[in-house]
Amino acid sequence: MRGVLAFKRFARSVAEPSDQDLVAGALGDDPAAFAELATRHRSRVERICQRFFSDTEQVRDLAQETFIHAYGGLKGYRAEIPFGAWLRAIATNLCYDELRRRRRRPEELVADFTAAESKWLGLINTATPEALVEAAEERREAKVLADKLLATLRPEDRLVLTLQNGEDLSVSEIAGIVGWSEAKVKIRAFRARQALRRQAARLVRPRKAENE
Amino acid sequence: MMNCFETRKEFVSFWLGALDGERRQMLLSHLKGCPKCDRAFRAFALTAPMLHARGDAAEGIAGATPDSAPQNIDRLIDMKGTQHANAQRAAEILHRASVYRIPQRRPIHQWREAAAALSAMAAAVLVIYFSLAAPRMSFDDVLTPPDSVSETAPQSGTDFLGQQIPSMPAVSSDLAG
Repeated sequence: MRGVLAFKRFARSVAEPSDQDLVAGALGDDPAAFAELATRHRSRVERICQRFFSDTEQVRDLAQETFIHAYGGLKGYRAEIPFGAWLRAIATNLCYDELRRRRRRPEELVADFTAAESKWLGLINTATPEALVEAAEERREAKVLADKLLATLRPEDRLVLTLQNGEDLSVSEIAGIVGWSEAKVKIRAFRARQALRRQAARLVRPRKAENE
Repeated sequence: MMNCFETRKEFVSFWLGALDGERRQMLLSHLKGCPKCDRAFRAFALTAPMLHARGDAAEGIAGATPDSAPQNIDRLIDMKGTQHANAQRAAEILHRASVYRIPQRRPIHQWREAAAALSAMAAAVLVIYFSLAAPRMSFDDVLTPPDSVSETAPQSGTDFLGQQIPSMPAVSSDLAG
């Protein structure tokens, strides 16, 4: 079984050029090689941008900008880093720049809720803890509302939480992408979580204990 | 019975369904009796779909067609020199590969620019006129009443009905100090 898998991998590598081959082709003025790289990594880059922005146009803008920056900086690409990771770093930095450009104010949050999100918020305030856990899995608005809360944070808080929780990156990987020290990433992540919980607590109504 | 610290430590396990029956019951009974932890859990539940997602909730936009692609990337084609050439070439490659469409430069409306220039010139002329050519009046000129007094205006020492206004008594030298 393992032999079959290895053969399949070998056959695929023969049929499809690797990212490094395509980069070499693009550097040798072969537009088709860069086009192939873009096609190959497009959905991944768009997914990263989507973690930061919900607007589809904005996501496409940033994804395209990522590829254009990548093309411009292809000479500086070092083959020891996977091409996908290099693109991810470019996309992340572009998204971070965009976040800094258009910072959102926390007071905008409450006015922004749709009917479905308000309903979910009502459930948060009234349902039992078990019911909440069950319901959150199926409800898309639970994720949307969490993203809206995230959007109220400072750009650097948002960046670190998105990379850590959305992209499942380690502290050292995040530090490598954004150019911070690992200690700074850890502190920022801790403070970002606190800030996020503070924002969430503003939406929860206090209530009396049942045992009293 | 769990205390508040232990309860809050178990929020993530409870959320992910990884808490065994006994601890789960302890957590639930604590939440029932502790309004602060209950509120903390509800706040946690608001953020958990992002911080402790069960499975990847992100959806791709792979079905997007190149025709519906970016609008606001003017800054890319505003790059200078080699950068601009590279950006333009990359955009063309991406377009040819049907990944994205070529960004279009915003149309320049010449009449708008001409109108803006004319407005600026008119404003400049007005400023020059008011600062140099218009008759100058000092602040004192504005405050001082003119010499000629109309017939209807009350004379000094009388009110509008022509009655004498009593003068104020002179301040004695003792009080004046």
